[in-house]
Order: sequence, then structure tokens, then C-alpha cells
Amino acid sequence: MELFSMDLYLSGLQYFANPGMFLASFLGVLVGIVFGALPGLTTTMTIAVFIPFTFGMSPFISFAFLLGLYTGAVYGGSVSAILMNIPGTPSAIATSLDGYPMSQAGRAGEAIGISTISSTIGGFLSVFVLMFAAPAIASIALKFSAEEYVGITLIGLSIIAIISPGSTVKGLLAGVIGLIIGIIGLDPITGYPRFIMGRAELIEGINSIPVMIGMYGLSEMLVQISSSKYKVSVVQKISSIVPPFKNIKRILSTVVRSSFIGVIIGALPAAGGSIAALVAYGQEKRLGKRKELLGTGIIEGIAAPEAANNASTGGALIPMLTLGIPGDPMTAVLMGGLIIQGLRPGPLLFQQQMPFVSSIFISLLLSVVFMCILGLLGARLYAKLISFPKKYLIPAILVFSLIGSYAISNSIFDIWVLIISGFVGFVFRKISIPIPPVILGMILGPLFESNFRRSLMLSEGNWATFVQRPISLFFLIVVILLLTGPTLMKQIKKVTTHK
Amino acid sequence: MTKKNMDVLVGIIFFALAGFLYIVAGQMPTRDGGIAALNTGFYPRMLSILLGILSISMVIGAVRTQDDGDKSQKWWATKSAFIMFLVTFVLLVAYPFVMEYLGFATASFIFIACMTWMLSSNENRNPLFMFGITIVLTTVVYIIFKMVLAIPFPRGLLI
Repeated sequence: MELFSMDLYLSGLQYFANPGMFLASFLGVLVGIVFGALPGLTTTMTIAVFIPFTFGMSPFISFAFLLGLYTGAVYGGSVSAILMNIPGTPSAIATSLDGYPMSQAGRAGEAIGISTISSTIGGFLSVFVLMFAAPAIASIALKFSAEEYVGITLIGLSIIAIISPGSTVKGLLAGVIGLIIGIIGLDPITGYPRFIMGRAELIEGINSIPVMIGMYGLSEMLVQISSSKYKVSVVQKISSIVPPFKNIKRILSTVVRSSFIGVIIGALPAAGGSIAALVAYGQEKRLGKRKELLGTGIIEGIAAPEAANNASTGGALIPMLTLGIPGDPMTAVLMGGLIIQGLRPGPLLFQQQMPFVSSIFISLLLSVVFMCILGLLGARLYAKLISFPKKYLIPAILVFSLIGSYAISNSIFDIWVLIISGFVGFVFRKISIPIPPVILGMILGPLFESNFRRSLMLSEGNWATFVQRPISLFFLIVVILLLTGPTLMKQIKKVTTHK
Repeated sequence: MTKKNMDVLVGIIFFALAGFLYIVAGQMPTRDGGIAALNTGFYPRMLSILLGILSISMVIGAVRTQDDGDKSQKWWATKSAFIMFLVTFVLLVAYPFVMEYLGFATASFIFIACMTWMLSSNENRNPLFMFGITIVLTTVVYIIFKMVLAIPFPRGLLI
């Protein structure tokens, strides 16, 4: 089956005539920017809290909205980073380094303008890379067997364990906790109910959306309440926003370089926008024309991370769509949104749901266009909104989370799942157990288990099957290198310095 | 509690969880002979072993690090933050019950009203404004979930 055909692109053109998609994308970007700009509300949390809103929608409209949220929230994080020195999302951490000094110097509008233009260019590039790379990767992935899927799932879990804050052991432990949550429900092979505690609601397994809303949304709100982090900060004033052409010309090479960094890092399993932005900023420090001025408030310092974090969005969608392996927590939640629409991401999606895949390309493209328009036109409004008191925002988010969890399957039981997950998420944050590996483990758990056991069954219990296939062996070597690499490097450094 | 002691305690708790999982997985039905992977308890048991190994590594890692007396991971910023957390928790737990008996709009109204009241400091409490915000938020929730998404909520005594 040829996946790399023009039909994939041509069939998407019809969506340009669908006003519903425009509206969904527009609203998604608007809500995404506002939520992304509000400090403490991460992109992942925004998507998780809003998934219940997409139930009644068709998959096309639903995903136009969710991708709008995704793009908008990743961009929106920069607004509060620039105006308040508080990154709205982790992807905007590097943006505050030059954004806030610019803002203090009375150039907040210019900084937001540069951030918008850079994010737009990065976003466009990522859409095109996604459009051309995804079908090619999907056609390779069609040849993968169960053993390869075991390997690639392990790569995803290892990377997220390594890059999560705190020790790798804690990251891996969190991943295993996620896998354990994934075993609740009927055994996929024998049909025996496991750990369902007599609850009929658990037969199909734990509903992952309330767990995600709980671990990201509810627990974040609980952390803010417990640390009294809901007092309002001072917001800087905004002047002219649209940057002059000479400034756009000045940042162009930075933006192009950072965009490529963003797409590539985004496409790596588990490495998302925040890492892309930091790496791009680091590269600017190495290669930039005005590298010595970085950190004092120059436009290149905003352009690099902002182009990279928005470029990472399309990149991060590649492993999720083509392999069914979400690259980061944001795409894990997006994948949850796909699954409740009855769609299973993976190479078969490209074979069986070609119009839907085309609509994803169009939706992402639309969201970048709306992000540019809304970013340039609405900066003053967001500046006002981010000072919206948290004492009203926290109850609103909590009620949305409670009702949203109920609405997934009209079940009070899911509210309990939300509350328990929220509390567990709160405890995990306090004891420094990272949340992203738990979510990834839970989402990937059933897929991992069925592929793992199927491999062993087909090989009649022969564990060597995982190293007998070259691609599978390669994936396992990557896993071992990932997990042992940092320690090995440390040891080697120790030995060489002793010499 | 210092970070080191906390890590040791967490490691021990996870090890106990791994032990529990191992025992329960062992009680799941197995077939005599044949491939182990076919048995129900096979995969949970494998995960329990992994969890056990990782929790022991966590304890060892924590014991080997120097205790710098770092108590930065405070659970609550102040005593009042703790009380607020506790009240939020009670409100969350009460929500599904109130929703079942009085209806989801009433439950949402009570929840938002109590939360905004609690999160506002004494000098900043403007009852009329808070009432207005609570009404607006409840109406937004009602319109989105009840009217637009047509979610069938439990029929409570009120709305």
C-alpha cells in the first residue's frame, strides 16, 4: 500500500471549505493562548481539561479544536514569560531570559511581536515537515512487528524517564507505575479481570482522560493552593506590537535554524517543546551574531526559543500519528482525544483514515495562521487576562475538571478517578516523582503488554525473539545506551580525569 | 522530613506495593505447562519485579547521598494554606454527592462560591462581586455541558 501519495494532500483541500473547522481552530487557538499565557496552566493540562468539550464533535472538528489549543498554548506561554517573567508553560522558560528584560525596558509589545512572528515561521515549517515525513515514516512502520513495537515503546519510556526532572530511577519508577495502572481491566489474552475491585466500570480499564485531568489539572491546582501561589503579579504595559521589517530580517537566520532544531527535537520520542526551546537558545548562544548580548533583552533571544517550541509541535505529532507512540505528555493527551473518537493512531491510520490524516495537516496549518493573527491583534487583551485573579480561575478549572470527567462516560465513578488521580498527582509532585512518565506508561501500557506477550506467544516463549530481528535489536540497544549512557559517561570522565 | 529520608520512605512504600502486586498476581489463574506469557499473572508479576528493583535502587540511591538537611519540599506554605487544601479536598469529595442529590448546577454553584470565598483574603471579599462571578461561571458551565453538549446529568432535587 502506497502511503506517500498525492491523494493524502489533495483530499485535505476540501476542508478549506469547511467553516466548522475554521471556527473550531480559531476558538482552539484563542482558548489555548489565554490558558497558555496564564501562569501555572500548562499546555498538557489545557488540552486534558478541554477534551471533554470535544465529545459531541466529529473527529475532524474535534481535532481542529485540540490542535488549535496545542499550538495556541505552546505560543501563549511566552506572553506571561515576557510580561511577568513567569513562563506560562515550560516551553517558554527560555523566552523569559530575553523577553522579560525587553519588557522591563518598555519593549514588551515588540517582544510579543517577535515571539509571534518566530512562532509562526516555526509552526509553518513544522506543518510541512509533518506532511512529508509522517507518511514516509508510517510506511516504514507498517513493516514493524510486535517485537519492534516493544522496542519503540521502551525507547519512549526510557527517554521520558531520563529527561524528567529528578533522578532516572524515579522517572523509570513513574513509568512502571503508569504501566501498572494500564493493567487494570480484562486481560487482553485470557479475558480474566485484573484488579477491578468488583467495579464494573473498571472492566474496560481505567479511563485515561480523568486520570490525565487529575494528574495535570487537579494536582496543579492543589499545588497552587497548598503553596499560596494564587496571588496576582504585576503585568508590564504593552506598546507597539508588529515588529519593523528590519527586525524580522535580523532574526530570520536564527528563526530558520531554531525551527529545524525544534522539528527534529520534537520528533524524538519524549523530547518536547521545552527542550527544543532550551537547545535552540543554547545554539543561539554558540552561533548567534550578537551572542554576547543574549540575556540582556535582544530579539534573537526570543526568536530562537519561540521558533523552536512551536516548530516542535508538528515534530511531536510524527511519532504519535505514525507509530501510535506519543512523544511527550501533550501528544499523549492528544492521543487520548483521538482514542475517544474511536480512532487508533499508528501506521494503519494513514491507510484507513486518509481524509482524517489530511484534515490534521490542514488543522495544524490553520492553527498557525490563527496563532499569528490572534497573537498580533490580541496581545493587549492577553496582558489583561493574565492578571485575572486566580481565586476565580482555580474554582472554574476545578469545576470544569469535575464535570468534564463525568461527561466522558456519564459516570460518577470517573469523578472519583479524577479526585484520586489529582491527590496522587499532588503527592507525586511533592515527593519529586515525575508525572509525564506515569501518563505515558498508562497510555502505552496496553499496547506494550499485548505486543510483548504476543511476541512471546508467537516465539513459543523464546525471549531471544526480541534480539533476533535486526530492527528490534537496534531499538533495544538504543534503550540500553539511553539508560546506561549518562552513568557510563560519568565513569569515563572520572577515569580520564584521574589519569 | 528531609529529602533523603523522604526518598527512603517512598522507596519502602513502593517496595511494599511491589510485594503486594507480586502476591496478588501469583493468585491469578495459570495453566499447567505451556507458555508463561499466556498466564494472566505473568505480566503483572513482571511489572511488580521491575517496581521492586526500582524501589530498592531508589532507597540505595537515597542512602548513598549526603543528607544536606534540605527541607525545601514543604508540603504547605503556611498553616492557612494547609487548611485551604483540606477544605478544597472536602469540597471535591462532597461534589459528586451533592451533584447526585441536588443536581450538577447547584453542586457547581456551591463549589465555586465556597472556593472563591475561601481563596479571597478577608479584606478583598466583596460578596456581591463574588456572587456575580459564581452565577456567571455556573451559567457558563450549565450552557456548555447541559445545553450544548447535552450531557445527561443525574436528576437531583434542584437543577
